[in-house]
Amino acid sequence: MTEQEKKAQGVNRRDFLKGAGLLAGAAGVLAASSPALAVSDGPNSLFNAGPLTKFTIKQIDEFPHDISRLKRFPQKKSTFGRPPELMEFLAGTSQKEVALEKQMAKEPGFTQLDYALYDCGWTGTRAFNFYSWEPLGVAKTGWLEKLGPWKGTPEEANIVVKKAARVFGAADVGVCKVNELWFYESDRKGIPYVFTDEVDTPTHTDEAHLIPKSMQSMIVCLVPIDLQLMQFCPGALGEGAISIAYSRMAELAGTMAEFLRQIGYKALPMGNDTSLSVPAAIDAGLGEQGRHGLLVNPVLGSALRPIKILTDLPIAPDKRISFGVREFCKTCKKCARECPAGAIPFDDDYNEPQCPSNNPGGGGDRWYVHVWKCYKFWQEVGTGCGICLRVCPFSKPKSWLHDVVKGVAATTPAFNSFFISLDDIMGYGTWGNPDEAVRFWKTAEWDIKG
Amino acid sequence: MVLMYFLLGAVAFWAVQALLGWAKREGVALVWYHWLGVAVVALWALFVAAWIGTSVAEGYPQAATAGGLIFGGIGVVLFILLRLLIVKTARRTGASA
Repeated sequence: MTEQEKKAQGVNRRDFLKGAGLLAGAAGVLAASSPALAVSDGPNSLFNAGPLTKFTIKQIDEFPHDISRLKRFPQKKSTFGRPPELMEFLAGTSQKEVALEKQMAKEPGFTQLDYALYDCGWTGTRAFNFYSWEPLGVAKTGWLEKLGPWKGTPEEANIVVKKAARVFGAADVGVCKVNELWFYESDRKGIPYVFTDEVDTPTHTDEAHLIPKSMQSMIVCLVPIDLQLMQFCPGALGEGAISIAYSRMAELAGTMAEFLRQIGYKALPMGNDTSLSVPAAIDAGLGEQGRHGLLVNPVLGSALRPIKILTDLPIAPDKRISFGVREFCKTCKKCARECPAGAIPFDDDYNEPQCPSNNPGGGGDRWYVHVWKCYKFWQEVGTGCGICLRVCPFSKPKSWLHDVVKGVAATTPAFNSFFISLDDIMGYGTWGNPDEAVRFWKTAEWDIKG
Repeated sequence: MVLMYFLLGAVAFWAVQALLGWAKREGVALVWYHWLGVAVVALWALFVAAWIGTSVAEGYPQAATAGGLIFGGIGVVLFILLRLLIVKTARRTGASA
């Protein structure tokens, strides 16, 4: 080949290799910093959220819902308080019977192994009381006599608790000031929760659960739910993702409480008990409430479980956030469409309370879910459900692809309809192939494809 | 995934080089809007490849297939339009073909 011909080719081989090496190197650097690499790297977190998602999240000053008429709600009226009217509503259904029938029929996702996974996933929360108001005896509080409590500014404390919580397994952490409205008025037995100056530490008596008013900081942590297993919801295999998340919640809450005790502060860990989780998480800047009544986090979507720890450690609160969830939910309705119980409303705007387990003062600017219909479906299907968590378009693995969609949705609702159609076409949120539910127990691979 | 991005970078570079070589061989003078079109088609192709790779890695084969077909189809149309534009413009400028 002559020199002229080589020039006609554009570059010589050496230049080509040099350029290709540079380009490929640049692509490699991009890839190394790309969230797509972290799909299975463990818990997601806002701290390492995709750049576009992070960039488009807005901070807001006010609580995003009208709570002027909100009153504290008695827990015995909630679904899990099992009010008598609910038991009438459930008449004729039995989760245990259905579960046994399905195991005997070896239905994929409902086999003996699947139920063992689901039921025993609860061990961390049912076999041990991590949510105890009393110290668990792990924290070495004896050192406090010489050391005194840890001292730092509220801003430093904010970083300290977030670091500790993340090490202990939180996917994301936020802090808010206590709002007594988020606390149940009373427990399932009707014993009231009372904020008082009369006690120094959280105390149970026969008449009341006493919470010191000095405990003014609420730490809210999010535990991720495994999206791979979630593809088999509803089903015992899929519900294994939920039960193990509950166990991790309990361990995280108890561990964080002990951490706070060892550095000299009081701590009251809470799961779904004592106070509401969703408004506390919104207050702590961890997300927005979706159509399905649950928290939607910018990174985890709906595949999460929150816990709370109340403490007297002064901590600077986080700002609340907005990233377009309410506007997206107005258009999306995918959770309502896919809900087998018909429990999630289709209303474009907002709706009225649907059953006695909805707190009627919760505002006219949120969607109420018919939680009794939801719970009835649990009895009929033989496990919990979780479809709404799984089909939510925000519940996606962390990658550049979903970061772009979330970032655009946070900026403008103009493309929401397009994104929702795309979500359906791409097959996100569909039930996993039943063969894969069977194969789950036949292969040592962890990655199960839908 | 790192390998995928490496290959994407290498293929993109090779494609630009091939285009340059073709233009010089054919005596086609590429102007700014040709390059703009090339950049758009190249970025689109990278996007489609990255979409497919990411979806497979995430465990969503349907997303990889559907995205590949839809966005890949759009990419093919864009490529054909770009090719027509370049060929048509080249004739108009009277370059040797």
